[in-house]
Amino acid sequence: MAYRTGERNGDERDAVQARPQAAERFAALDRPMDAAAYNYEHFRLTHVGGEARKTVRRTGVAPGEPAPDFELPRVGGGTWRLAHEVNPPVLLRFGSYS
Amino acid sequence: MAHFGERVQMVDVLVRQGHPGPAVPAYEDEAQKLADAQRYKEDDGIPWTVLVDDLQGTVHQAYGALADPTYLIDVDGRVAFYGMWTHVPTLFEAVEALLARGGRGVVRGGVDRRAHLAAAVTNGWPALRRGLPQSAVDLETSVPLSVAAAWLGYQLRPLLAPLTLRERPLPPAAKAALGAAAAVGTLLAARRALRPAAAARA
Repeated sequence: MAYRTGERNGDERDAVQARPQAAERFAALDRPMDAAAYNYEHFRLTHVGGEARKTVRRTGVAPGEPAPDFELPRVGGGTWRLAHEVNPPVLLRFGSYS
Repeated sequence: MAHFGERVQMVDVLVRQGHPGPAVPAYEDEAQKLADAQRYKEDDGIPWTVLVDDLQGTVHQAYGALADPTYLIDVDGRVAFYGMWTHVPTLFEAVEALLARGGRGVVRGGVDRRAHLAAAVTNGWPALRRGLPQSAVDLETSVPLSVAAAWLGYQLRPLLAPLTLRERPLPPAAKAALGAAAAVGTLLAARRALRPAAAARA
C-alpha cells in the first residue's frame, strides 16, 4: 500500500453531492438502454456489431478524464465507493457471468 | 485476471448476462445478479472485490457498456488507461508504467482497442458453457464457427494458455520468433496451395 496517503477527500463534500457522477453520466447518454433492452434475452449479431462500433468510436470514459464516481454493493456485504478507493490505483473490470 | 499484488486494487463489476441461456436467463432483478456474483467469486476463487451493478447497468453504461473492458484509474481518480477488451499483458504494462510515474497520469497511449481474440478463444468456453444450449446456438448464428473455436481453444488450453493467457508481455525476442514462425508457416502454406495449380498449368 505504498501510495496510501491517509487522505479521504472529506466525507462532508461527498454528502452534499446529489447524485453519483456515474448516474449523471448515464442520464446524459444519447441513447441509454432501459433495463429490458440492456438485459437482452438472446445474444445477436447486433451485439457483435455494437461492440465493433463502440470500439471504433472509442466509447467509454476517455483517458485523462475523471472516472465517474459510483457506489455499488459488494459480494460479502456492504458497498464500495470509487471516490474513497483510488489510492492505490484501481483496475476496474466489467464482466459477465455467462 | 492476473494478480497484481497490493500495488493496485483489483475490482470486478458484474454486468448483464453476456450469453444468456436456460440456466442463466436475462436478469430480472438485482438479487439474481448478486447471487451470480457470489457464485463467480466462490467458483473462481476470486480474492479481490466483486461488485454488482444495478439492473439497468447504470455504471456499466456510464463507462461505455462494452462487453469486457478494464479501466486503470489513477490516484487522482482519473482514467490512466482503458483496455476495451481486457488484455492482461497489456494491462500489466500499463500498471507498471503508471506505478513508475508515481500513480498519476495517462499511460501507454491511454486506450487499447485491439480485440485480443486469442484470449477469448482460449478462455471463453466456461462462461459460454453456463448458458448452453441457447448461448451456443445464439453465438454460432451470429458468428459462425465461433463456438467451435471456443470449444477447441478450451480443449487446447494447456497448449495455448502460456501464450494466450499469459500475465506478462512476451519479451521482444519471443515476439520476433513467433512472427518469423508465422511468416514461414504462411509461406509454406502458400507454396503448398499454389503447387497443384502450377502443376496443372505445366
